[in-house]
Amino acid sequence: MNDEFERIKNIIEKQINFDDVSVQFRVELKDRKNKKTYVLAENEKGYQLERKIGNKSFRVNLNSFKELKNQENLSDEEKEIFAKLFNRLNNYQIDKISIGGLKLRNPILTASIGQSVIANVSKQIPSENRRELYGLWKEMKKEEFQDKFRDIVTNIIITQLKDKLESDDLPTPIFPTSVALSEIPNYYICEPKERYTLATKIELFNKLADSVCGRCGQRLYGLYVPEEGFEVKKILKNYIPDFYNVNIDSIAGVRRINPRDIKPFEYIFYLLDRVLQEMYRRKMIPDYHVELFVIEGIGGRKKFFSHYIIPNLSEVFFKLYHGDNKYWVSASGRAVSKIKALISSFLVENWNIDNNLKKNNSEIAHAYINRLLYFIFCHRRLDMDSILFLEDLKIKLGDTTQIRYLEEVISWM
Amino acid sequence: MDVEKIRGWAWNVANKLIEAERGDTRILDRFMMDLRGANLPHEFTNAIANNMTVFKRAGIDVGEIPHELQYFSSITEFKEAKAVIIATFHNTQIAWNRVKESLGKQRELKGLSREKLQEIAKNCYVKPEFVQIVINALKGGEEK
Repeated sequence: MNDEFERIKNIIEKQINFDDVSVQFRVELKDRKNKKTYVLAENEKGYQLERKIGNKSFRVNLNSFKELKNQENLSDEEKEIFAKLFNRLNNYQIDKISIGGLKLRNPILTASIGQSVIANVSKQIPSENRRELYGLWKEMKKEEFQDKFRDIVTNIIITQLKDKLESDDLPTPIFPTSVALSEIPNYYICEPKERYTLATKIELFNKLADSVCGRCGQRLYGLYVPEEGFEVKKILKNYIPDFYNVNIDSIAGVRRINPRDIKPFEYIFYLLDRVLQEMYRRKMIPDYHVELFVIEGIGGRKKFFSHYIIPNLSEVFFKLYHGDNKYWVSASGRAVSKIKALISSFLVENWNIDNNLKKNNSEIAHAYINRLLYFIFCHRRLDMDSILFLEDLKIKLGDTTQIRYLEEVISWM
Repeated sequence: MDVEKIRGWAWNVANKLIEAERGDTRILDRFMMDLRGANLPHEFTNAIANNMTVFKRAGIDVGEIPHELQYFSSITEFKEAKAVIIATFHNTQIAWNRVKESLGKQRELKGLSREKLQEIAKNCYVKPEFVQIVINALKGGEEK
């Protein structure tokens, strides 16, 4: 198992990004009786005094200690308190080092452990390290400070992560059936509980770190391709310059699209469509699985994690991408997959209808497109209910664009 | 299930209905609405049979109901047939409307040159023969 932790250590060391990190050294005094808190902070710009009374906060910036006596908004008593705090700062008695901008290079990894691990780093720095770091920073020993800071932060993250991975998880409800997307209402089974072993958790963490990440609406996606699928990544590289910042809007190539309403299987479809087309041209076969990690919710809000596995991509590839008859040539002379033409014809964004109708029906249309693609990827069949719903919606809303290649796609499946 | 055969039948029926109405799509709209509302195989087959009888009485001969639409071996097969027929009806309407719109810009349908006909066909993503069918329908039947 030590080897496994060594892998995690390597990942964290590679992933941790100190480029935009800013530090602030803080000393504080709490007057519990009067519910007041006084904070003196020092950073590259100078000093900041903060007085909190209940929820009200007053802040002022100073360039030096000498400016303290000129502060008209502070009482003499408060000035004395801040003078004491200056004294403690000068004696390197740092209470806390605030760290801003600390993140991991892959945003999906930051989103996964940001709140539980990275946000707690500053609290975990021991007092002797705080003193030492402040000393190096104050003496302008920039390189030494950076090396020391990097070591301390990295070790804290690795230790915390190790603790988290070794501790028991919250019980994970099991999604009952593999066709859950077609079950209404959805329900969850809580017994038997699913438990991840340590090895599984480490494996998942590795996959997450290695995934091709992109934000789309409120969701953050990570596409994991196993090592043997290196050609997928090679092809992806041709149109995704930054693997940590996938822009699905430009990759999808379906004219306008509303990223807010795109759901996981639609996302993975756009990402893989061009890859699978290219693989057919290069006479390659994707004989392996791919995985998609999804984190829903941005910022400090509660997050929802999902993990989907497309068991064998070759079956999807043979059904929808293998053969010249699976492509049509667009007006610009480019070969485009017929399955994408079919999906595009169900995109409400491209219909000739009123903009309000588009807006009101986009979410439901994308939900059915997602379901259609879920059945294609996970069950290798067309979900006719979704197709009938989308056809109905298209006709009901009075769209005047064609439904393309439906019968051909049906005959391939 | 022979998807191509069903598509061919639907295309043929849709064209005959629009031709009979000289380019109008009201009969096809009604037929399509009946089919969209049929959610079970027997309802679907009944809707086809009833409409076919009505067409026949109105003097529109759309031929026989193909074997593929008389019996479905599974619900999936029925849904596939329904999806293909509705998509084909919809696409036929769109094709007619596109060609009609393009022809509407022409002052005289009678003396339309071969080149012009091909240009319209290309712009509307249809074959020139289809454009000719639309012209004939709009003129009120093929000239002999």
